[in-house]
Amino acid sequence: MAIDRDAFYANQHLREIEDFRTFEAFYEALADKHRIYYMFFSTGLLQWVRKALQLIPENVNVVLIGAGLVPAEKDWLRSQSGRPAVFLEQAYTDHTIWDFLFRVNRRSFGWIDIDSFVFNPGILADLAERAERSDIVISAAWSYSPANTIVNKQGAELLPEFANTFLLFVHYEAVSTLRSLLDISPRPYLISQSTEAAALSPHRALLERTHEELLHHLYGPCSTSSGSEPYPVEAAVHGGVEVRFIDTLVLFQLFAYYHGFSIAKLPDSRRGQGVSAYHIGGASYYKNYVDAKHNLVSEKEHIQQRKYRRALLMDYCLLTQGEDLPAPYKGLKRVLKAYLDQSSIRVHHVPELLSAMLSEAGLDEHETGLLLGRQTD
Amino acid sequence: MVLNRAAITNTITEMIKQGVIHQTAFGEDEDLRELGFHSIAIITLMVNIESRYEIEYDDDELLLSNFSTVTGIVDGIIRKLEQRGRM
Repeated sequence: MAIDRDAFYANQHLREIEDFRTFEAFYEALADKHRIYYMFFSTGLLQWVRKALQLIPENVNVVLIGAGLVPAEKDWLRSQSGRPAVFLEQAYTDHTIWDFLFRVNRRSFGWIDIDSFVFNPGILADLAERAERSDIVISAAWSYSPANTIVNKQGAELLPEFANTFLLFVHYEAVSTLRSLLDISPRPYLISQSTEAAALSPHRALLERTHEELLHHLYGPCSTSSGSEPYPVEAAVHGGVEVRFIDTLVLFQLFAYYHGFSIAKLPDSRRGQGVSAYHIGGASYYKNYVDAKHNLVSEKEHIQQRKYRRALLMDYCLLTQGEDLPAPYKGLKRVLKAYLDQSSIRVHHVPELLSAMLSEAGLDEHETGLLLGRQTD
Repeated sequence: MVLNRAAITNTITEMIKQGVIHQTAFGEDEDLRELGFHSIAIITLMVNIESRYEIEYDDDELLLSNFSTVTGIVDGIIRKLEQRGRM
């Protein structure tokens, strides 16, 4: 018997409301809400969380959000992380968590991906300070510029720069001002109009007329023609169905630009030799790259192959640093070995291959040693 | 223990339900990942299967995509049991 998808999603929606209430209550009870950096993760990723936390000083206010974790993972986090943690019952992606954060936080806050490794913790305070300016909505460690310019509300043409969500800080007052003008979510917005695409993307928001009007103002009349959109559009395959969407926080940032806000960037991620922070990318989804039913098709194949290899090597390397992780992670080690075998990588070559990749990315010997779990001076 | 496809399918379905999928019914070819069955839950299922059926997966059988449907999981178990002459 096939699943009743309507009933399934209705049930999921109810459980999402319960999880939202859990998160809301958790936030209200937090003793320290000043400059929180949220770190979100789902099941099977504690090896990444462990390493990311090792690099962040205790005086940085990190709050953990786990979703869909098994009991052993919750126990491990309670006893080992030393950070406030909330556990949501359903397995969400970051789409839903961003929505929760925008709806619940009453102070400016940051976000740090579990695969963003901070070697210079000073940048965390720097990001928070940069987000305090009244015309700034987000400060980000990394950003990108698409090719097309926009026209803001005052009629000025500008080239927007979008904050990557890997490591950033959100200015609460600016968000609050913008959300009072339009009901807009940080979630990705689904462009594919088919019922099937919508059913397979329940955590994405749907573009409404007001959002389409915003895009029309920003980019002109051709702004919503399918396949030739001037704004950044991602395409992914979920359950064998291709869906197209505007990625997390992108529409929100466009709305901010329209109203005269902008984003702040760190001046330069490099400091002498090495880097201030390094983002691996794909920790939670890289295995989808070798699965035709779940893939990000808007990324070029050679980029996917590079990201896949880097994330797989890092995943295995992090998993094998210490025996303290919950018992099921022993099984995860076997699974990752299967993925390494599939890529013709021998486990004893992992440190050497990873070291070369990190070095090529600009990490110095000390930083590479930290990620590989080597003792360094 | 009864070892035929129907019995194994029922057992696996119950094991998955006891995991993270709070559904009374789902299809044997339904993509379990779409229903919230991920990573450690899948690995826990693998370990439980090995224990219950006294089999051991080879390394090349442990890709998570091999555990994405009930049918795929049951096929894998039957293949292992047949290799050992138990079916």
